[in-house]
Amino acid sequence: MADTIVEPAKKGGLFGKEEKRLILDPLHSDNPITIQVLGICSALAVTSQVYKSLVMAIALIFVCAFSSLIISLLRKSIPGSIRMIVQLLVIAGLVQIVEIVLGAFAYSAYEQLSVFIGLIITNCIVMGRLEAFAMGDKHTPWQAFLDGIGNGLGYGWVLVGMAVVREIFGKGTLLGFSVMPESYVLNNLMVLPASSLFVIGVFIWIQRALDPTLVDKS
Amino acid sequence: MEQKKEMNVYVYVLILTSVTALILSVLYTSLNPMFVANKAAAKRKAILKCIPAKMDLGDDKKVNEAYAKIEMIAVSPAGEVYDTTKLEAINAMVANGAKKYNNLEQLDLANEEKKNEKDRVYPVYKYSGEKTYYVVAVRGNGLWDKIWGYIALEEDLNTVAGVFFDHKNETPGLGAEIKDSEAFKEQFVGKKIYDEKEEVQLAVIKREPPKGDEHNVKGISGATITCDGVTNMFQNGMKHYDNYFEVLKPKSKVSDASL
Amino acid sequence: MGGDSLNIFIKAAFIDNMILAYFLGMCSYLAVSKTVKTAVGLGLAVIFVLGITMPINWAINTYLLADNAIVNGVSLTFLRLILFIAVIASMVQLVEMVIEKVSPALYNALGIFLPLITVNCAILGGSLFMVSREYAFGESVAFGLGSGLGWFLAIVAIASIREKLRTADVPPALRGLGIAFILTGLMGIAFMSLAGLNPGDYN
Repeated sequence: MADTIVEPAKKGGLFGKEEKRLILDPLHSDNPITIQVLGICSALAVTSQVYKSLVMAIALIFVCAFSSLIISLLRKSIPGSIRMIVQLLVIAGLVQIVEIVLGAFAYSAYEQLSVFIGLIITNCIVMGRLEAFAMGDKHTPWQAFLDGIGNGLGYGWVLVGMAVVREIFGKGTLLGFSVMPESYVLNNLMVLPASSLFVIGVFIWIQRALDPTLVDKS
Repeated sequence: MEQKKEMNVYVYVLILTSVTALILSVLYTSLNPMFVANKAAAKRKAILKCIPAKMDLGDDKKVNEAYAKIEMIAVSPAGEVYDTTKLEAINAMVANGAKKYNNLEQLDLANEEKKNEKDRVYPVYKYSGEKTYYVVAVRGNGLWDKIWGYIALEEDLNTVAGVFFDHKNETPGLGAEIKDSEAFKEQFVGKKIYDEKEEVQLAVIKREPPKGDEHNVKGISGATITCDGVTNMFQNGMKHYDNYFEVLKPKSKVSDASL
Repeated sequence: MGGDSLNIFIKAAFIDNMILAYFLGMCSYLAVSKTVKTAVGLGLAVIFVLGITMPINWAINTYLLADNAIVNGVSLTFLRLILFIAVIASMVQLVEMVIEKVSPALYNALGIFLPLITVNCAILGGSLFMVSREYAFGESVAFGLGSGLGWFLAIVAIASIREKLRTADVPPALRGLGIAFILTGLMGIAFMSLAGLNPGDYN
């Protein structure tokens, strides 16, 4: 097992080819939301305002990165039969930290996100990355950490992108500041929760139309 | 090897759980006071927001400074006034899972609603600045869940000086506009709550009210049920203050004595 | 009280639908909705797990975690998320074992979707909504079963639509996922029309 840890390190220090790929792939060709279809639940509920989705994205990057790091460090010691429970425990602990910190330092975000902070626990991205990457023997904790950040970012940009579309067209504002001309009639459909599904559907449509290799084969 | 691993399962979980719980409890104990302060400041801000006097509510410190002008009075539906020394008496009346208060500022309608009707205590926030305003709290049902609000009244205890609404879970873009739309809230300013017979007349209606209408405001299209909820909130919520207002009126409405 | 519970049940199933109004449990909803058969199996499992975890989590929240529940002046709310997810994970494990013993056929049909219920946002979301809405015991049971039923209905509905879609002419880039999202959005808007129905009015 020891040699597998040495091997990736040989390839190029802290930011080799492999490490760059870990960050960049989730942004497009392996995006957790539009390609892996993970973590949709929260993606839809918090995208009505850019501010909310920014906070959510940062929270998820934190949880995803550190849970990957911790699980990767603990990997060899975790008894196989309780693997899931240990993973959930680590994730739940981190999410609770996020909730306490938000409540103390960003109360308005805490109020607005309400149950959706807690729901990061069941965000499949976090658990999915732990299972698919951090638990793998081939990866170092540092790589797992980067993978967590990469996937968090991939989730975050789609989230914020959706929120930008919805806030501009639905409310005529961006982060609360007015950006549309006075004459613009607000599109109320964009404010409705259901519109997030249309926006994400169109996102996927555009992404796959531009890059036909990603089209669903089935 | 396998045998040994399985034996460790309980120890492993125990250690991991205790470490997590320890970290969390340290964090919680150190940060919870800030959370509690934030929560209180958010409530104070909501109350101050409906008062038309000019004030800067930029940060929590300024909110607390502005709030110094507010005196909280707890009143029973019968019109009795409970001051801070009566905290014990209020706490003695808990029932049906209602919580006790550590100080009177925690007084919360959601908690009071769990009590028997005669035991409830309602908050009145008296603002004494250049002008005096009375802010009352009301609570009702929206489409999905609870809605609540603060209503600032002029000294005549009838004219609305400002309102603040909030909701647990109304549809964004529709019902949630009672909180988000400034235009909706501004309509309430200057309206009269009661008619000559002291009946609550203030209502949210579907159409633009005719010019000079004293009691109606235009609702939000697509949010009829939430808007009806606001109307009901006024209808049901104001009556709890009737008796207290009666006590208050002779003092504040000397010029209207002829009515 | 009984009327209240019925009210909450109907609201949770049709109006406050977990998927169509809150988008909770979307991951497995999209992954398992390719055929009606598996959708029905997963839907039933979700009803069951929601139905039992809700009252257990209610008891934990009320008798263990609430302010002043164990020792006066001590609040253990910071352990809420951990305990809730632990209850859910162990209940799912339990259901898995029971189904394996009682009906191996169903067990095989559900396959990996069973353990996936643990990370179904609808389950944890249900428990968290229960706390924030301050439901009483009976109400939380009704809410659990109602949300489960709502989730079941939504997944079976989308699965039947997707089965029909296989013969439809969808633009290639929109096939599969893209169209599933847009369909769910349309279903969500359709369900919004039920919002006018307030079961409380008929009590």
